[in-house]
Amino acid sequence: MNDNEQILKGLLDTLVLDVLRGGPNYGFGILQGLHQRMGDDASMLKEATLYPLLHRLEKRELLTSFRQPGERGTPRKYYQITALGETFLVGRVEEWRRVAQLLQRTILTDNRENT
Amino acid sequence: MLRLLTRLPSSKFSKDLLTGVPAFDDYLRRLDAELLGRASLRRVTLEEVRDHLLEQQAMLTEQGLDAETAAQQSLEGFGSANELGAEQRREKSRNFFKNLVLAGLLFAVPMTVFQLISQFYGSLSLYTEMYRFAFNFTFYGLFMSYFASFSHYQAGATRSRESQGAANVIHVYTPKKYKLMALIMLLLSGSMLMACALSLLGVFSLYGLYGNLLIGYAGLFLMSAMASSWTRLSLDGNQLHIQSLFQNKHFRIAKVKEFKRQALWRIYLPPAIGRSHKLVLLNDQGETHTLYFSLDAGLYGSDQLFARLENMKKDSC
Repeated sequence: MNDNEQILKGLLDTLVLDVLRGGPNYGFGILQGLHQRMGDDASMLKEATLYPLLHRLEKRELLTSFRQPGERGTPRKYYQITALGETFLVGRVEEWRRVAQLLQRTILTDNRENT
Repeated sequence: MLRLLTRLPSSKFSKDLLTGVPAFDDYLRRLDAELLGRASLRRVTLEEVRDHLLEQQAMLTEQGLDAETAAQQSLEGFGSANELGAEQRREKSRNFFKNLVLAGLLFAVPMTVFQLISQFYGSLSLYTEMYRFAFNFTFYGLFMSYFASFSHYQAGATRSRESQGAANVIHVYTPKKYKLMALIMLLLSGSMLMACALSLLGVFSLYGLYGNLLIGYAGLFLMSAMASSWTRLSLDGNQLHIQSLFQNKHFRIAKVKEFKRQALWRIYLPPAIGRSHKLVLLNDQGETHTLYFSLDAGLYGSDQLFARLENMKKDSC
């Protein structure tokens, strides 16, 4: 796994929670939301890794899940962000914002000045 | 062998999960063989994967691929059954060891305390007590952890007549076949309580004073827990109904001030099947009510009620 993929993986929990801030969603729907946000970078995400991630977030009580009949009539498992998850998300977004600002102030600015 | 033990009573793949797409069905069979836990637990994962693959295939077909190529691409994008299975096994194994320690302590500590109290004026052997603690911890911990991690019944998604008719109403209740088991347990635990009570009254001699009190409490605990199988919770909009053998309550929820899972030891107070939850609500008259009830994966609609109350809590913040 290259550095870019490593960074994106670290971002993934934040992105999943952000998708779910828009309302309850199921696995495939969440993936579509991630594709919209990540564009081409989403191609490095193996779909099977999404489910263990959702289960881990659920275990940490950042998400909750429930099943109800979906469009095809078969039960579909939906995930929903919890109050704890929303608080966590706000904290994570703030952390990423600080990292982005730091990069902007240091490396990115230097690069711009050098070129 | 250990994997098979976790899959009791049946390790067979449930045929109603088949999709009619050979590549998907083969994948689901291979994935099922990798998973731990009883059929109703494995089913949740398999249904989720099946739906994902079918939806991915439908999307690719809409984009112009033929059905077979779309199925193949969906599988390639999804990842291997081995990896997904290994991840589930790691997660379940972690749960098993965590539950073993928690359940072992939850049983062994009170048992040791009761034992120490009952022998306070007698002779105490530290070695015997340590041995007894280790036995209680291991035996009960293994049993309860196995049950909690691999063998507890996972109720299906609610497809009751009520929820089909009124999608907004959530009903939480125990499946019929488990009520029958609860009835048998209720009779057995009632007999246990009665025997201890008669022994305490001197009708006959059974376990001694502390033994009778302890086993009598266990009987009462089991009776009360089993009786909770007849509790039914319904949430219709903001109207919450709690119907049990002993009470029938109704609340109009104006605001959910607090809703959370209680600590594991709270299963002792009040005794019930499943994990205790605390709900603090404000009704239309501005009165605050604190309610305790059990929600468990084995109850129909339990997950939906949890999610709805969690949502109401968020909206109230």
